[in-house]
Amino acid sequence: MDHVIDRDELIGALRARAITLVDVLSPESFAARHIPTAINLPVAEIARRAPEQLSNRHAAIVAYCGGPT
Amino acid sequence: MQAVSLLRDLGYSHVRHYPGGLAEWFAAEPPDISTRPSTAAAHPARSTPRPRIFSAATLSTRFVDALSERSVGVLFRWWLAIVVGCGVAFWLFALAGVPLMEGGKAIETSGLGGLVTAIYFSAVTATSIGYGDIVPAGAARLLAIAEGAAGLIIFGCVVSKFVSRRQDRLIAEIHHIAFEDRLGRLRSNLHLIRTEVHATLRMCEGSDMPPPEAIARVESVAMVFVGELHGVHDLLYRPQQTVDETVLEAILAGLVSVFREFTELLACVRVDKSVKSNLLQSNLKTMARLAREICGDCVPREFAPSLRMWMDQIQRLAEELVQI
Repeated sequence: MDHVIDRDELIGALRARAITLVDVLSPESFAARHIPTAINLPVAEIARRAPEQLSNRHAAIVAYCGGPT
Repeated sequence: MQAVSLLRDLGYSHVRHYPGGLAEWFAAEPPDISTRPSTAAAHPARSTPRPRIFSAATLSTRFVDALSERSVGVLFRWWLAIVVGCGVAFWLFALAGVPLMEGGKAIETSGLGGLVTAIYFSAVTATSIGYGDIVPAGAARLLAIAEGAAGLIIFGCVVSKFVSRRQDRLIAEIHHIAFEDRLGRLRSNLHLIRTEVHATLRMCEGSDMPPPEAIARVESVAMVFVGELHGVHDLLYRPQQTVDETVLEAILAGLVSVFREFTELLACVRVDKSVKSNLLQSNLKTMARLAREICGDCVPREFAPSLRMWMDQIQRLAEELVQI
């Protein structure tokens, strides 16, 4: 159902700066470590803060969490 | 994944999920992704220009936004500044030979009296009272009109803020009541489900063949339970308010016991794959999916360890449920 992206694809996309990477974990976890260039948008805050953090609704977005899920 | 569907619900068209997550990324040597030193392009979605918003934002809407973003105190201070500032300006005008007239004569400009009269006129103008005991002459008329308009707009904003503050408080209260209501309903429904599961369990205990009505009850109970799981799910991921941790713990513990008893019940009525109706089958699947999402890796907050424990149990029981 979900469109998924694997690690190699993700590396390529990040190198090409073709996507926005979203870390949906808590700010504490984000502060501890996150994938470079990711922005933090905790799951519970998506509805409230997504419009300001992700202004372009048609941009390519990749979300990740603690994984593997 | 929960976050992906939430983003899609919000209208983001191009969302993908990296299932490996942090664990996979950091399991291997972190790759170098900085082919270009520029950090400006690091967030394409954020840095892409927003032409629609900027072109649509006319001067007037931006002006209104700027006013509505200020607090009551700031607006009131602005208004006072306009009154005093214009008062001083009228006084300076009068000194420069463009006087304020009182009963056909120019007012006395010398000393404190002149300044006070000018500020009085300014206040009467800014509040749009306009007694007419003092009238401007010449170029001062322009300033008086501008002050009247500006004062009225800002004063209007202050008044509307007073009203809307009260409204906001009322709305927040209504939300709070509705939320408490939902929590209460969730808990009582969980209780009802447990009672129903118990009753059904008693029906089939002791008899070799489970009565057909027991199976029907299992099906309907499964349906209601899925609804409640949805409720818990929303509580965690779309919270209007932060749920008290003890309340959440009670609800999760309730879920655990329902899951456990439901598993027992399924074993008791011996619904193997051949007997399982489509309804029950799909409800069981939804149950397992919701349980995974409620307790997955993307748990929205750093929960207390006790909550974590309940979540792990729910997940394990849900897995068992699907295995049956």
